[in-house]
Amino acid sequence: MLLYALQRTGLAILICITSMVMLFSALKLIPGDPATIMLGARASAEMKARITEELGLNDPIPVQLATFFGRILQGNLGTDMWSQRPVTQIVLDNLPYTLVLIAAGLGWAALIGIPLGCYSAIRRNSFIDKFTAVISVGTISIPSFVVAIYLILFFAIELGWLPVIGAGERGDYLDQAVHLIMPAFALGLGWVGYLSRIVRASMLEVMGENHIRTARAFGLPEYRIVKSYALRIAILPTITLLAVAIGGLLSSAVFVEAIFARPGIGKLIVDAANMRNFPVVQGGVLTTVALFALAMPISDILIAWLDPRVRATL
Amino acid sequence: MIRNGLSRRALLKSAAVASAVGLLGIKPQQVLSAEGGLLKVRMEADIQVLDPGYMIGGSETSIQYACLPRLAVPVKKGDTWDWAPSDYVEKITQDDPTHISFTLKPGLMWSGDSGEVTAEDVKFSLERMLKSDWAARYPTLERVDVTDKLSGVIILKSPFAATFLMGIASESGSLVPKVAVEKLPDQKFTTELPGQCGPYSMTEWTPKQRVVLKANPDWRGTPVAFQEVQFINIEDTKAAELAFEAGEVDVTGVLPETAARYGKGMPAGTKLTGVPGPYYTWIGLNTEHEKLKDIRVRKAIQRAIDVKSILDAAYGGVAQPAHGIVTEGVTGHRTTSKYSYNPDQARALLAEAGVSDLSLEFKTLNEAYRVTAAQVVQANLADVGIKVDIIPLDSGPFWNLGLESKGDEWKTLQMWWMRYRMSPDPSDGIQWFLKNQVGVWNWERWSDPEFEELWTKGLSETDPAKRNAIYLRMQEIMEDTGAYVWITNDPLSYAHKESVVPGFDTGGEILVEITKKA
Repeated sequence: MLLYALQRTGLAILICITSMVMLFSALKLIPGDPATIMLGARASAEMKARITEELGLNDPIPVQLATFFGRILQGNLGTDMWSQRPVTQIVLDNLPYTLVLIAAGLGWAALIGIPLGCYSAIRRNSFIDKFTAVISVGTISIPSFVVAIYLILFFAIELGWLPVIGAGERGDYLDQAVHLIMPAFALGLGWVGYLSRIVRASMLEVMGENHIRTARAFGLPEYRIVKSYALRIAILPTITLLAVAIGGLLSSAVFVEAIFARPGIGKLIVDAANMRNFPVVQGGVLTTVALFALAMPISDILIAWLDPRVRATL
Repeated sequence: MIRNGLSRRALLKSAAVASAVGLLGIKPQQVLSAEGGLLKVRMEADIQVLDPGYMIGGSETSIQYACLPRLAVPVKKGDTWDWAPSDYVEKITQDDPTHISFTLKPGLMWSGDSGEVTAEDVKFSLERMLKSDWAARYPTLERVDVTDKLSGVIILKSPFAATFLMGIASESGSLVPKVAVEKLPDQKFTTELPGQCGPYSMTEWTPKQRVVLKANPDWRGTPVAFQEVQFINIEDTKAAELAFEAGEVDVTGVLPETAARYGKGMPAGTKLTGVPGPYYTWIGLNTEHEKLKDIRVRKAIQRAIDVKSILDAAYGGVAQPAHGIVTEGVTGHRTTSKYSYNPDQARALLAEAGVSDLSLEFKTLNEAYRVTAAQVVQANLADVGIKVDIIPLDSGPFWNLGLESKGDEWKTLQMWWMRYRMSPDPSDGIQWFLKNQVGVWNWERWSDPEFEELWTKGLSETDPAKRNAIYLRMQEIMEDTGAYVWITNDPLSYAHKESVVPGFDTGGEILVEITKKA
């Protein structure tokens, strides 16, 4: 089990390194002089020289890459080229907002989606099952930013019930929670459909297995069969899906954070890219890649820990 | 920075407010966006550098105006920007073309332990600009002589008419406390002001969320209308418009298409205010390119492009056509052109030049409104028999197109869409078209001896009427080259509550210290 965990973590580190080499190369392949791109039109020669010097753009690319990784190993993601703040600090300031948003979005999606999937499986071909199927496909196909805009138009502009912008007052958790309602709803809505479909399919498969038939033969109540025998196995594919969802939600979070003007890692990367603030882009992307790369081995390890059949194969 | 944490009191307060909202049926937006002493202004980008020597612009400018002293301020005199002494000085006068004397008011105190604002601070602040990223704002500044604690003389190497509007009265004229700045690494600062002295004090910066300014209780100048100002960071303009309609910000810039929509009907209790912006947009033609060498071809293109259609399609009809580069409210602003949309005349000029089957490449930054404008140009020129291929480019390759130092693209460059930004002095906008800018920013690649001569005269001319005539003539020369199709001085539109009367600086940024209640 330990060796398995180490293998999966090593793979995650390799993914991070590969991604960063690709990102670093992509930034260097952008046509034009990086300092001119960052500073825009009519930048003075002095300003360009200063930026070039500060970012080490005159060094050969392998040297720049080595410097970049050397700094990362020391926990230093570089310095924001404008505000001169450490990128590590900027990322750490923004990361919690995104994690909370993803947790809230995924959390409510799981709370609704998993029971809905179970119910649909148990009451297969019922009206509720068919209705859920239609709603699921509908919610999956609506992009989160469209949901966000309609939520704002209805709940903020029309009804005036919920706040539109920001993440709420610091230290005021109630205010922060109120500010989280619409963004989390917009982010999680599509995942309600995904989760309910996956759980339904998985449950249908498990409910047909011998141990469920045996449990029924012993006269166990249906709710107990579902909760204690079927769902425990049917939930396993959902754990993998949730890990994959982290990647998808990180991308969707960019739009949601932009529309609701919430701080967060996605918005940080987009804003930095707009400003051509490459050190912040690199630091932000590395963090998101690391999050995603770590979520996968964690889900694999969790499944191995929960499922003795998987554990037996290690 | 604010510490994170929840006190018992904050929790109880929140619960009480939530209960009141629920029981009384009050809409949260009414609680969250209080009027009276609080003004909420959307800021497009988070602050990065408040140091006047290394700033980026935008809301940083607004904060500098509100929290840092300066010797003079820009004021509108009639339709044109001029300068006036600020609240911080007893007097400031231009004694002769190269000497400006000033005396600060006594008792103006910096926050922290930097003491009183003195002439030494003025000397330090202005002279450090000469070594900064914004040195171009003071092209002829030599030094500042301190005559006593509060008085001094600013000495110029040669006369420069825009010393006030581009330098002393602009954001680049913000004063900083010498004692505090000298203690900083590299003697620079970014997001934390080393000392403040102004109508407002910056009390909070929550990165990527907001900047809070509170009225300075020790301020003895013109009183401010709002006790607290919050700059709310909303990068996306559409999101800012939604936040405005939900009542969460009091003032926001809006997109041209939204301004057009608001023009037909504003949300209740709100108003739209248009402000001349600092931008000038034109279509450039390379006078050295084989296909465009003949001035009759260039003049045909000037007359074949329907600027009004471009403004309707790309700017929602809210922008006015330009007749030069100098923006409205600035000396030298031009109100008529010598050419107008006339496809028949364009066809005649092309026939006279013996040109048929002409095809051109039109390069533009890859932004939706610019591509829309390019499509209108494509249709207009097709109407007179010129085929246009639109080539949208990212900013990297685009900004290198005309630079000789960046390759050979300038040799094949034919026609492009361009927008520059200028300070409220014509010299700032016109300097890029001089002979020494050919191959740098004069992508049209022409020069003219009269233009060069007028340039030198314009810098030192102090008579407003004569200066006006100089810059009008310079733009006429530019137009006569046939290398420019004037498009617009892109207007800025702000939506705001009817209860707020926003004040603006010369570049169209909101100045909260002169923003009033209706």
